[in-house]
Amino acid sequence: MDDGRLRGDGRLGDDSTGGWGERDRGREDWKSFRERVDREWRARHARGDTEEPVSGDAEEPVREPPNSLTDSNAGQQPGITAVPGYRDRLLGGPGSELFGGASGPLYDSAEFAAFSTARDGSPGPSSDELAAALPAQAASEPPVTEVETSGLVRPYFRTRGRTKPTYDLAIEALVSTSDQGRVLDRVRVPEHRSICDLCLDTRSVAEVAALLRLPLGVVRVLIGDVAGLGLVLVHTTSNTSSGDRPSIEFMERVLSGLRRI
Amino acid sequence: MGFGEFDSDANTPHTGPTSSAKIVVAGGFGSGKTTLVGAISEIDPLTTEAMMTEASVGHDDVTATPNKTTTTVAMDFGRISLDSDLVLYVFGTPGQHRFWFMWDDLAVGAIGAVVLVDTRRLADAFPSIDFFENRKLPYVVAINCFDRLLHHQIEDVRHALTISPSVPIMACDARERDSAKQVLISVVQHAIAHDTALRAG
Repeated sequence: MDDGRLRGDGRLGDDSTGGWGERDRGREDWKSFRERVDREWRARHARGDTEEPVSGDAEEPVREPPNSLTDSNAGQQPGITAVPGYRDRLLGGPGSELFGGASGPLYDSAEFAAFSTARDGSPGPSSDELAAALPAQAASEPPVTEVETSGLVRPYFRTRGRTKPTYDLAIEALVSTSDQGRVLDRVRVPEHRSICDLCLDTRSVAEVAALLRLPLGVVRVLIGDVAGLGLVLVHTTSNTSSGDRPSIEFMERVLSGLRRI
Repeated sequence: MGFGEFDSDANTPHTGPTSSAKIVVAGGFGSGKTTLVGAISEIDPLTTEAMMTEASVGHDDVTATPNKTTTTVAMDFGRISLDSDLVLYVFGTPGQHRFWFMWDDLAVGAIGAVVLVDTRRLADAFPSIDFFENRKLPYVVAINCFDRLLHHQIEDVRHALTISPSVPIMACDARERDSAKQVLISVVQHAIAHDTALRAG
């Protein structure tokens, strides 16, 4: 998949020459490359080898993956070079500008602290996969900048794995930013901030999903979160009569409205 | 609701819409759903996306576009402000079969549905009609006259689609706003009649 290949490019990035040219010459089947890197990494990891890798793999997976999210030093490993254009491609995913783009705010470390410690405590076999899956992004950033959200984060990462919203939101339910949410400085989580930003004009859940270019399920969870924090108001439709049918009075209003337009 | 501040009008000084209605537009591929939504919407129709996952490998041929990681769920929708506090959303259904699960989301709470029919591909309308029949969602059938000509008698189309006489069938031109508006009006009218009849008997 695309994000995997980008990560691979990052790792291939040669120390001094910038990765792209090198990569084209030494192109290797992605799957076998991936397997080789995993194998080598595991071997080194087993030896407890913390030295700079001999192969010149500057952007070795981070040893402590979870910290890379909250620890602003995560990007400051020695030997990391900025591959030209790499950062843009890495952070240039759909809707990334809505999350603050390249100069966006930090993840709220409190928000993600629980997430990190939970994984710190379990250095089981899965930590290899996690290292490969997530934080290579953080490791490959230029040293001076701080860790932020990226366009290559898988969608349900934004919801911390939750797929069910705390509240059942209809796709046409209207969302508007509350007075609290209007003070944007107070909204630290980038996704929350983009939702508060968008909903300054009242919008439906479906509109938020379309404008953020995120799947509906993700947006439902996120809107549930911001509503829970009191940053947005969800206007629940009180127009239903029995079951999920709109009341006849409500439909009469829609009908006369349609006739007027 | 015990969950955040829901609909507490007291602290919303700005006046925006507070209630929304929904009408679903269904029909076969290329029957004019997007056109109809676009004709009536006050905004450029929006689309939602879903991530392309392993589940879609083998279904979506991406060999030509290896950088494509999202695919459009082709659920496009438009918005019509009906009143200062009332908004109508018109949702076009997703075209691909593997997004059938989204139809439930669309149908819940909807006033009613339009099934757009292209008489050259009548059979394409059956899945939509079946779905709305099963959900007991009131629907009307709109024959999209692509070249402004109705090639068939409306009652012939009713027989061909084997739908009950109570379901309104009309001809429309999905490109024209007034025509699209008439279709939506008849959906709401039919839904009101349908619910009134249900309530009465």
